[in-house]
Amino acid sequence: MFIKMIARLFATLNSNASRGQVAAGMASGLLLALVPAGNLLWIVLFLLIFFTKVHYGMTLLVSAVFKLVLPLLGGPLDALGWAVLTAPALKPLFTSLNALPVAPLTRFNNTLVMGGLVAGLALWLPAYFGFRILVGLYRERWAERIASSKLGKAIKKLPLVGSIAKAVAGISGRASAS
Amino acid sequence: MKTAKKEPKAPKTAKVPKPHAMYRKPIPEKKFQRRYLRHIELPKDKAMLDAAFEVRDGKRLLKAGLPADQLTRLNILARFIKSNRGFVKTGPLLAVGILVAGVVVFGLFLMNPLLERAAEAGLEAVFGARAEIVGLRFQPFRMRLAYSSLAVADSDKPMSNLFETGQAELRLNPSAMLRGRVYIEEASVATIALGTPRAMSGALPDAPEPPPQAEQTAPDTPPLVDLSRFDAKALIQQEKDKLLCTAAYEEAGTAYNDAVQRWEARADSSKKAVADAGTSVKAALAIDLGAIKTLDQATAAIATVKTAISQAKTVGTEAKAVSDGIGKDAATLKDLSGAAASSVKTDLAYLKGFVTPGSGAAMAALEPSIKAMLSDQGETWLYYGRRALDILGRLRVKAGSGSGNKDKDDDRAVPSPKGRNVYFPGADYPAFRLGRLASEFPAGGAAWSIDIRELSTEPDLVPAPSTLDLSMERDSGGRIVVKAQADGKATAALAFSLTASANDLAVDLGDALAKAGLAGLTGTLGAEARAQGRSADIWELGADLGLADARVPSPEGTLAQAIADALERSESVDAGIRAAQSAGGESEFSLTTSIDTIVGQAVSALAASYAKQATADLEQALGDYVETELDGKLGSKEDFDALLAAAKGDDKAMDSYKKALDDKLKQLEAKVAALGAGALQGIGLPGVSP
Repeated sequence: MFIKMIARLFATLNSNASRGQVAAGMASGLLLALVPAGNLLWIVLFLLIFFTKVHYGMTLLVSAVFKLVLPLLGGPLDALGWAVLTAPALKPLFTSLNALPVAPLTRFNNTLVMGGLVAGLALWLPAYFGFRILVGLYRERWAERIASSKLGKAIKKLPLVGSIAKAVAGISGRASAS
Repeated sequence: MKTAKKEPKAPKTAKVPKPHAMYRKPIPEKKFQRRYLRHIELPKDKAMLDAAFEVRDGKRLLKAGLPADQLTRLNILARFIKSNRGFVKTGPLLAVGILVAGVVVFGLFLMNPLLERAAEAGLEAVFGARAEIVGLRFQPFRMRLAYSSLAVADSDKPMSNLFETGQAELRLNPSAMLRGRVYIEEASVATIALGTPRAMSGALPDAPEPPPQAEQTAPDTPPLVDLSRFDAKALIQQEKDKLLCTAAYEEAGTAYNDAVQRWEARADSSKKAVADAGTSVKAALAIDLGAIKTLDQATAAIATVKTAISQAKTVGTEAKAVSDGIGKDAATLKDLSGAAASSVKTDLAYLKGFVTPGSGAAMAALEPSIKAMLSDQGETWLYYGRRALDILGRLRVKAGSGSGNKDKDDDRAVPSPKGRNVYFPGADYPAFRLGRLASEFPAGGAAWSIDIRELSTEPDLVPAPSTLDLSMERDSGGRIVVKAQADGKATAALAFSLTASANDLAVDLGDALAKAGLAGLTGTLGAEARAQGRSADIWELGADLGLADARVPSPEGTLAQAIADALERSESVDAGIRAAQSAGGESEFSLTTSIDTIVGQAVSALAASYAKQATADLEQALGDYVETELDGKLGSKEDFDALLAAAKGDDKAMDSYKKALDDKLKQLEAKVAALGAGALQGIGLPGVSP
């Protein structure tokens, strides 16, 4: 099961899955990781992503990876959220928002939520384009090089990697093409 | 029959798959480029797809006779072409359907148990003790919440419930709910009970130990003596522990014992030394001066006398020290035995108080019981009052740490793992608000009505202070009405006030005054009480009570009978209570009643006829008690006196010895002088010529 999950992610990188969708999935994973869970905002973001054609596997992987390092970013996110929430120019907006039904359930007035949301939204486009370029480079240049390199071959001989390779082949149906 | 030779089977050719539907129709070139080729990412696949189609009349047609593996690959690519088109998925509609079904299942099977647990957790946080809700049902579309029963344990008394309610229905405010607040507009509760016992402890696992409960001790009530059947000995036995003479004799007896033990050995040793010295002294004194003829005999006698003098001096010093020490202790012991003797007089005066009771004695007998009874009742209500204020305070603290306080930003300098909350005005809903809780129910032979309004975590966001209207009407008549108000607004500093009144309330004091012989005292009570305070710890209370139609069915004892008669004759027994607790935690309690005046004269007149004989009996009985039980404790006094006399005798004896020896020595020295003069007679001195 676990191997199959990893295999799916490798298959994605080596398949015809749209690089835009893969990159969007990764950027969305970053956004979901930065916004603390357990509030309506996170649920809404998750549902929005769910209804778009982003790559969920990548979303979950990137989200899980960034969640691990999120405690290190707690201070900057808190400071960013505090700066945004206490900005005099934005006070009328947040006051109006606070008076609306449902909006308080998003916990937008929490510094980590607001900091995570602002950082996640601000980083989304750069992350999207960055990941898009990286996926393109991987597919066009690095995939072949890695596969034909000595290190790549050695790694392929490892039993675990062998299992993954077989699974990749089964999932992507790419064996014949490559 | 010849059978034909089987021909070898032709090798199986791979089955040619049908091309995907999207490839079967001619595709315009522009569309092929934009909607097919553009969505293939891998260059090899892109080239294969391009090569698999031929151009005819500006349209792309799938080439005929493509090999099976190429068609298979093309069909796989068709899936990618489809999934790579567009941004929005229609497929998740199925997931939404599943989600809706999940929500329905959650609502049917999981929502209520989860809400139940969440509500219990919230109550446990507020009350600091276990909370148990049974049968919680939430109807989201009607915004109604109901439960079968609720019990919240008392954090200070974990084996009791602070309160327990029966079936209840709550109407929630949807607008507040959508803002993440809980606003119970109205709650109706079938029954409410306070202080009910619990089968299991209600303490939370990590809760601090509850403060130790002060053990309720029965009031120390002096008995009212039945003068018609007065028994002096029985009274002394009953009061024995309180008599001063018992302890005084004990103390004096112990002191004598200690003194005897301390001096006995040393006095014996001194006595023996005195006896030995006496022998030596007598020997020295027995020297016959007439028998001494020579200087040598005289010198030997002087030496004997000097030795005896030296021994007498040493022994005499010890005998004096013993005599002085015992003499000093004797003075102290004399004071103690004097005090013991005078304590008997004090005790006699104390005991006479029982048989010559004035009005004060009657009050002294009744006051502790009355005070204990009123304190028990009052403290119970004060306890609940204090807990209510405590809980209001806790609600405010919880709100302060949550998201309800609109004026206060959470500006902790160190970021918390949960972040900081910035507060914005606008949502005028407290985190929790109970608009009204009403309950009417029968309990304990009375009809109860409770109406609580405006309990909230942020009183500043609520238009009115918290109020409690409570009334209790007994089936047998009598009514209690309590009106209380607590203002938790920041400007009001959690001030509270309370008024209570009771009318025509039948009271039965049961055994509360049994020690005074007034068991079963009944009457009709009327009362007015007022209380107010700045907090749960700073308050003052006043109450005026009137007990009419007082009756004691079977008073025990002459004085109790007199009191019962006096109470029956009086129109009303009035009492005034004043209690207060100041900022330093010091509390005051005072009770004034008209009982003293009412029964005083009747009791005094009755007592006078019995007092003379009873006093004489007491004097006799106390004398007997001292003689039989206490005098024996001073048994060591005689031993000590003997020690003192012996020590003094030894000291005197040694003095007389020393005097006699000194005289003897002088006589011997005179003898030596005489002998010396006789020896020189007839011896001429040599002449001396100039």
